[in-house]
Amino acid sequence: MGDRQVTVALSAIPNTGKTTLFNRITGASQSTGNWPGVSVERKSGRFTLGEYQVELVDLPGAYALSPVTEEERVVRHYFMDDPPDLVLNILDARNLYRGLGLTLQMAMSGLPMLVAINMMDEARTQGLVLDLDALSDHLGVPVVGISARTGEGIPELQEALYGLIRHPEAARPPHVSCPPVLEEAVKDLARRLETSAGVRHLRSDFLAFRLLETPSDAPEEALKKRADVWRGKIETALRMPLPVACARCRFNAARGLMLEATHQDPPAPDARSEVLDRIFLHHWLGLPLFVVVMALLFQTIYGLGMPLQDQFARGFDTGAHGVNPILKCPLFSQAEMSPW
Amino acid sequence: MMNNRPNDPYWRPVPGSECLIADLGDENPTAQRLAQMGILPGTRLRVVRLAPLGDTLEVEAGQGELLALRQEELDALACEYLVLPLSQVEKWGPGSYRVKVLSGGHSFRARMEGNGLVAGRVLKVERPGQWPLAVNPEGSSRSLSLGRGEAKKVLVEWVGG
Repeated sequence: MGDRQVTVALSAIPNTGKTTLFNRITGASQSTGNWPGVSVERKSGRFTLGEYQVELVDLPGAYALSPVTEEERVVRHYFMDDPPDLVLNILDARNLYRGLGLTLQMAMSGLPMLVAINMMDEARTQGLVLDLDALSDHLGVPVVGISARTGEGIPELQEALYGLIRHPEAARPPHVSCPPVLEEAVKDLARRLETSAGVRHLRSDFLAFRLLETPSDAPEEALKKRADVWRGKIETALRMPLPVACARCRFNAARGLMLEATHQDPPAPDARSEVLDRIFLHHWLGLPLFVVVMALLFQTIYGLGMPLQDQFARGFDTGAHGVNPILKCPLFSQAEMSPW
Repeated sequence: MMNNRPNDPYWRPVPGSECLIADLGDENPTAQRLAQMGILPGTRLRVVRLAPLGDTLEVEAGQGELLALRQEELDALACEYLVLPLSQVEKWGPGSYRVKVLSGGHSFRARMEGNGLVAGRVLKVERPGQWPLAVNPEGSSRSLSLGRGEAKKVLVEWVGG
């Protein structure tokens, strides 16, 4: 570690509090731009961690690395073309299952990785007990429980991040079991990638999965043909599109992990928002209620605004009275007349 | 029981209806997206509520997460209905149905319960789609006739012919 510059990518599915955590860690030193070629915001921030200058890149929220949406393509290209030194992945404590799909995909890349379980406070109020050690053991990466909103666990997170930067250790991802034909394809393509491509930071089976998703991105024509053939074979054998087949094995593993790490029944839905939903999203009452709320909002704005406006007007009037004699002094009246 | 919804294109499921995703189709972008979110064939969906004009539905997926889908998107998932109101079971044919939930108000539920129509009870329905609908709660000799409005509030699942 000569230059002590480290790039950390912040990755998560949408609505996991990624931006809250980003703001909490980087504070005011942020810069905003766009990812090249697309209208997806690129945010990065800097902070120091011991002797290291860390650049934190806020990746757009994406559910997977398969190129379905624009955000997913951005994250994918970032990982493939310019991999970060370290990945900080965030999961929502209340819904591990949905986020774990991406976590597993990222862990397979082999980059050093740290998982932060966000919204631990809300999970606790819901009566959810999470076994972070079990999750850490199975994912093969350190796991820290935090609450980005309250700041709980942030020092521990920074400490874990520091430890991982000092001693970068590649993630030891669990083996996600897939149907034999898919596993065979990945093994075959990975072997070919190893012999053809130069030195890579990313694991070859991770690259093999990406190659199956978009054979057109292959570095060589022969490899592209081979990936195309495998993809056809997999889709006929499994009778489903390849992205669905991959998502299936990933989420089977995710479900198992969630069951292992969650020591209580799946959370009961939030009773308070359910009651509010029932009133405000009522089939007939919903729209009238919306109109009433908007009307009240306008009323409040004007009801509060008008007296304030009068106050300001009066203030300006008295101010003008005070200023008038000064303006009438010779210096200002001359300035007013010249030079036109 | 593939594609077991009524044929009418303007048909909408009633809140409380449940279905099983049978197939995500090949090129449907919504389906592809849902797959990446972990909502895969075999996931059970429950309709929570409908938008005022009925085209947008709020559905609850397996793990208790809520999603908003358009009717056409739901149809693209080739949803196989498992729970429907008694007013919409014409395509399932005559046979036995098990009562899942009674929606509707307090007095409606009390009246139905008084007639032996409670959650979990099996009903014999001879001629679904004919109004008033004659239903026979198992273990009761009395037959019960329901109007369309009432049948809409009794959600049932198919038991057998």
